[in-house]
Formats: sequence, structure tokens, C-alpha cells
Amino acid sequence: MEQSNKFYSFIIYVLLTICAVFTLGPFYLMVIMSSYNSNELFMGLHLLPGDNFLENMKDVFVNAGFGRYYFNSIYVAVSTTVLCVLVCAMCGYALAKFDFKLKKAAYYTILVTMMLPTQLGLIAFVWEMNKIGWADSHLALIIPPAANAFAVYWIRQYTIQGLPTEIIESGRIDGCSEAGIFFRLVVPFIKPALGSQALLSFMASWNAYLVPLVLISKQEKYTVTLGLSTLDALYRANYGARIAALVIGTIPMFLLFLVFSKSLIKGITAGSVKG
Amino acid sequence: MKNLSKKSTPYLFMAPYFILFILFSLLPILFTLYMSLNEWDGYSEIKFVGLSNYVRMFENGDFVLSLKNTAIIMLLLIPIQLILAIIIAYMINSKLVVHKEIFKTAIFAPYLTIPIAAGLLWSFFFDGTAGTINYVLQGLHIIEEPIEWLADPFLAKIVVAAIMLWRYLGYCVLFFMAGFISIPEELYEAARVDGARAWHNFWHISIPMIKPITVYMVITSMIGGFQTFDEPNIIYTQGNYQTGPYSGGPDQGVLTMVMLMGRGAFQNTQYGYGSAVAYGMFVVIAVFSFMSLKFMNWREKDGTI
Repeated sequence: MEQSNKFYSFIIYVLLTICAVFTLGPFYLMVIMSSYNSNELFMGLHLLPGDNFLENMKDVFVNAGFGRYYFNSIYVAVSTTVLCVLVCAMCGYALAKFDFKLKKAAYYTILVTMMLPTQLGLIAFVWEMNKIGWADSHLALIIPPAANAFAVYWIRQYTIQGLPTEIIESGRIDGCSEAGIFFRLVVPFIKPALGSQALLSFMASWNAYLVPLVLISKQEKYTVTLGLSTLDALYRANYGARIAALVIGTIPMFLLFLVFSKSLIKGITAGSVKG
Repeated sequence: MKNLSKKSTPYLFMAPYFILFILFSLLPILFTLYMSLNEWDGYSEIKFVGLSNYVRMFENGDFVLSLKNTAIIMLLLIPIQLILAIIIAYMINSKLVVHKEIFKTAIFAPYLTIPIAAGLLWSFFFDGTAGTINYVLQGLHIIEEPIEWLADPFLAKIVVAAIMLWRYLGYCVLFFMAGFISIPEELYEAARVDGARAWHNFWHISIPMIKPITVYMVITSMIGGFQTFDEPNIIYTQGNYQTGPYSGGPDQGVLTMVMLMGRGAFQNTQYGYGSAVAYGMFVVIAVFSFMSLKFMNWREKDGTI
């Protein structure tokens, strides 16, 4: 029995390690490739770092203007995250803790919205943005995504389970305003859900490609994804620099994950697993 | 638990969400439906044309082609993705594995890349002349001549499926791990008394118990898969195999539905046609989600799972 357990455990470790090599290998190669120049890249597979890393970084940040895109992406992602969490937390709280006439209708609207393809209204949305002068404006990337049905749905779930109604009642007895109750008593209680949602919103905004591609044409307004998608116009032959740009684009999510991995994983699986 | 009531308060709390939702989601969705029944280039007069955009989208074969491409990519991807994810999640959850967090993180890591960055990275790897994949395959003498992965309509679908497998595998593993963890230990205990073996446990306890999650993953993978755009679009937007945005690569082999919609609306400024494609996609997704839900419930009643 002991013996066979050891054997199985060995097999499982080997299989999982093979999987990990397949998932992590490309990252390793990406980082290594970002430290070579194009000619070297075409001369075969490199497994150890080269010496062109700083040169590539200079190309990306100074010559290709990636610093600007980076700033834009962070600005857009942080703004939309803050707004989304605020708007959806308020809505989720109302649906979780109040009784009112349109409650059912509002809740079903949110459930149905979650099942619609995100691209369904895109064409009219783009036309609308042009009409109200938000084309080529970061507002178009910040304000509309703040209304996120999934966020409302799961903040509501979390609030129902995690926030005792007595807390709110005691706030009322103490003479707190409704807004005061929300910000001072409710928010601290549902912080874990808000944190997870913040990470998901940031990630969605950081990854967004199609909407910025269609709406943003001024180069000074570009986000990182747009910068990546147009890099070859500047660096058709400079593969080293292009791969360095991929490394740079990936770093922020990695840093966030390193710090908040539990929170992010909880947010991702929130939709399917109860509690 | 008693809910609170104060007449206007909940409406005020919900107002920001619903104002944004109505302005930027609901109205565009309805207006896109209206546009799909019209012909419009964004400038001249809007012309009502009834269902002719829908007729055209089927007659010129574009919609069926994009649907077929997307479906093939999904068939290449989803079964492998879910089976691998279930096996990996089961292995990580096993009592024999001590370093659960390390493996979980390692396999989840690709999900943290930007989808188009994943597409660009792998298009370097799959490059016909300088690509890592050909280099390795030739080095191992599996192939003699380099393969032009990105120049063939079918191989291009495999590439897109491979990129998505890499990026989403760990994401699926998280769900199945959560599912396996939530199975009560007593179920296995009961089975042990019966002298059941590990394989039997896996097949007759674990797999049936995670069925709700499997159904959820199949449906969300299909909803997501039918909206594939970022990876195939970026591969052919730049680099050695460039055919242009919304082009769909060699022989339009990876033209997806979202790509066709974008081509109609944003490249050819045929808003009506693009909108018709958007609603065609909506119907396809609704039908497939409904069918897979039915199919899986039917299997349950049938008692085959």
C-alpha cells in the first residue's frame, strides 16, 4: 500500500510538472527572447538571456512611446475599476437588503443581461459614442463598462450572506444617513467581494481590445493593447523590441496576482460555486 | 432575515447602475436590432430594407463560413480543454500532492496575459521560418521540413485553439478544483467500505458530483468561444502573415463571427449588415446554450452519467 502510493504520487508529480512546463515555458521563452536582437532571434532557440534587453526596453519606451500607452492604460483601468465597484456595490446592496416594488424586475434584468453576448450592441454603441463626442476619448472606455451585471449579481449574493441586517438597523438608530450607512457600515463588511470585483474589472479593462480598436484613433490616447497591435508599423523587423513590449504589457497583471491571488481566484469562480 | 424598507432609498442606490445600463447597453442593443433591418453607411439617409441584410449574410456564405470556423475552433478546443482541466484539477486535489498552490498557480499563470499578447507571442512561436515550434519539431526529427502553420486555413484553426487552450486551461482548472473540494468526504468513506478503488471513486463519485460545474463550463466556454476575436484577429493584423484586421487569415480560415461583424460595420461601414451579423451571432449562442442545457439534462434522466 505504502509502496503503491509513492509510485502514484511520483506519476502525478511528473504529469503535473509536464503541464507546468507547457504553461510556464512560453513565459520563460518570452522573457528570454526579449533580451535578444532580431538577428539573434532568427538564429535558433535561446534558453539563456542575451544582452540586448535594455536596448529593447529603450526602443519600446522611448522610441515607440509605450510610456504614454502605459500611463493611459493604468489611468483607464483604475478609473473604470473604482467607478464599477462603486456603482455595482450600490446596486447589489439595494437588491440584497431592501424590499421595493421593482425588485424582481431589476434582478431579472441583471440575470438576463449576464447571458447576452457582450458584443451584441457594439455597433450602435460605437455610433452613440461618435454622436456624443466620446470617440477618441478615454471616457468611452471608463464610464460604460462601469455597469457590469455580473458584478452586481455577485456583490448581491455576497451581501445577502455576509452582511447582517442588524448592522444597518443599528446605523439607522444611531441616526446615520442612508449614504453614511452604506459607506461606513456596509462597505467594510463586503470588502472581500469588492476587492475581487476590482481585480476582475481591472483585468477586463487592461485586456480590452475591440472597443479601443474601434473607438480610439489618436495615438496619444492609445492603450497598451492598441500599442501592441500597432507595434509592427514602427518595428516591422525588430522582433526583440516587439517581444519586450509583450513582457511589459503582461507585468501589471502578474504583480497584481502575486499580491492578490486569493482574491482574484475567488472572484473568478464566484459565478459557479455557491458561497 | 428581515429586509429593510425605505421608499426611495433603494431606487437611489440602483439609479447609477441602471442609468448607465440603459444608456450604454440597452439602447445600443435595441438600436442595433433596428439597424439590422436597415441599410446605413453612417452618413446618408437610413433606408429600411426589412430582412435583406439577413438574407444577404446567408446568401454570400460569409455568415455560415464564420460560424463554421468558430465551431471548428471550439470543437478543437473545448473537449480537450475540459477533459484536461478535470484531470489536472483532480490530480492537484489528490492527497498525494503536497504542493497544490505551486501547481495551481503555474497552470493558471497564462490567464494573466493579455489575449492579444498571447496571440502575438504564439504567432512568433508558430512562425514558419523562425518559429520555436518548428525548430523543436525539426530538432526532434518529428518533421523534416518546416510547417507553415499560419498559412493554412486548417492549421491556423489549430493554432488559435492551441493559444486559447494555453490561456484558458488554468482558468477551467480553478472551477473544477473548487468543485472537487466541495464534495463531502463521507461519500468517499462510504465507497471505501464497499471496497471501491480510486478509479471507481473518480468515475462514479467525483465526476457525477461536479456535473453542475461541467455544465456551467461547457455553456460559458461556448458563449465565450462563439465570441472569439482577439487571438485570430491579432495574428493576421501584423507580422509575416499579415492579411489585415478583420480579414480572417488564409482563405478566411479563422474568420469568426465577431470578426465578420467588425468587418461589416467598421471596415466597410455597412452598419445594417454588421448589425444583422451581431443578431445572427446572438441567435446562434442562444440556441447552442439552450441545446447543451437540454442535452445534458436529458443525459441525466437517461441515467448514462
